[in-house]
Amino acid sequence: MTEADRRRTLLCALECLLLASGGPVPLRRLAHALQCPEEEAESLLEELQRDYQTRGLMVQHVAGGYQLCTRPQYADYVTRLVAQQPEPLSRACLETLAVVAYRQPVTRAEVEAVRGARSDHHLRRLVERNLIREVGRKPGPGTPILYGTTELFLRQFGLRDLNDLPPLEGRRVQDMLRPHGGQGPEEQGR
Amino acid sequence: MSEGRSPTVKAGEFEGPIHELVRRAHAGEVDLREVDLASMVRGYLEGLRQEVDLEEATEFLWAAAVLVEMKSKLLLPPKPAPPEAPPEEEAADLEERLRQHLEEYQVFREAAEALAALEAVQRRVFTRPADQTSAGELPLVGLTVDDLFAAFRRVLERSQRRVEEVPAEGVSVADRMRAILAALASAPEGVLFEALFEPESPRIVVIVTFLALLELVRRRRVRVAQTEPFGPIRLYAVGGAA
Repeated sequence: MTEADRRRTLLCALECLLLASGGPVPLRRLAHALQCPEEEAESLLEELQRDYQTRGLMVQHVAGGYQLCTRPQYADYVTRLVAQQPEPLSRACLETLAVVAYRQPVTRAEVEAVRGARSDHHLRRLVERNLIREVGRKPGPGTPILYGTTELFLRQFGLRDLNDLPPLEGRRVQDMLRPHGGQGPEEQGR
Repeated sequence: MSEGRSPTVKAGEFEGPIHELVRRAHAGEVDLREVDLASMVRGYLEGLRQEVDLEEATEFLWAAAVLVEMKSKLLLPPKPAPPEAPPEEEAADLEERLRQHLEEYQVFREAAEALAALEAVQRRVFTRPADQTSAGELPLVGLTVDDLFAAFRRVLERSQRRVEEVPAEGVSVADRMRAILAALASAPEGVLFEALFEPESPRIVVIVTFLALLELVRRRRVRVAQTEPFGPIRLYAVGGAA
């Protein structure tokens, strides 16, 4: 088998792997199935990506892996055939989700302190939709539940990982990201 | 279509989303002392007669409360400083805290909008449905909740003969959930349903363990599978080991 044949075989095999698994597959597992180094799997992914440029499908790097999916511009056709996606999240749910995503792990009380509103209902909705989950308990009185985001969250928002979250606008971004306990020192000469 | 929106209000010269009013008041572009909040609230309530969008009403209530708090702070005479400096500092501190809180909240509002935009794109992207468990159904493979309940009944009958007092050590659903997850985490090949229940377990423990299992199934943390009718029921951790 020539090198070109081997490459062609791996490329087709990669396409099969992505179709068969449906959701995102980590590079490591793709390389393992292809029996090739990860760098080669990566370059195969790029080649496949290029091959697809004129087609309805695309390769997406999401949730720590690669997935084969439809291009957004054909969504209207697809939805006529297959079931709609779940309802979009309400504004309040999105806000709650944003706080959990950027501040995780975070307790309900911490979420409510930021939003200035009760959030238990929204947290429950997000857990039911599998976008957030309990990731542990915070030590201290009452050992409140800590929430974090799930892999589905990354997939549903097209994120590679949590570092891929859109940067928070505005000043003091690092302050926002740092969980603060109660009233910290607030002397900030301005 | 319950896309929560910022309710539109009319307050003096201002007419628009209430969050915009909060932002302007906060930025000092609107002097709240000049704004008749009561008639703003009345106007909103009148518009509410026909139909109440709870999500939106909540937004309104929250924003209105912020406005009232800000306005009351503006209207109150500055506290006389009886002993020394501290009270004034406290007031300034409170104002500063309120300001910071609003600022922080604003940042997360923007983040939520960015997430909404991402979601909107990704909603137009489809993958091949991987398996039944991600389709919003409960992760039960090859069996129904009734089958699971029947299996539970058998386990329960086993411990029926024993009359027990409730163990002094309280047993909670949360504890049992953690115990089940821990057991599953170390068993990628799955765990037999019966193995969850020690033969000598008091009934209360059996019941609470079963409740914990149902809760884990509901939260999609555990997948339950039966490969053939009346065959063994196995439990697997969901998503744990990729």
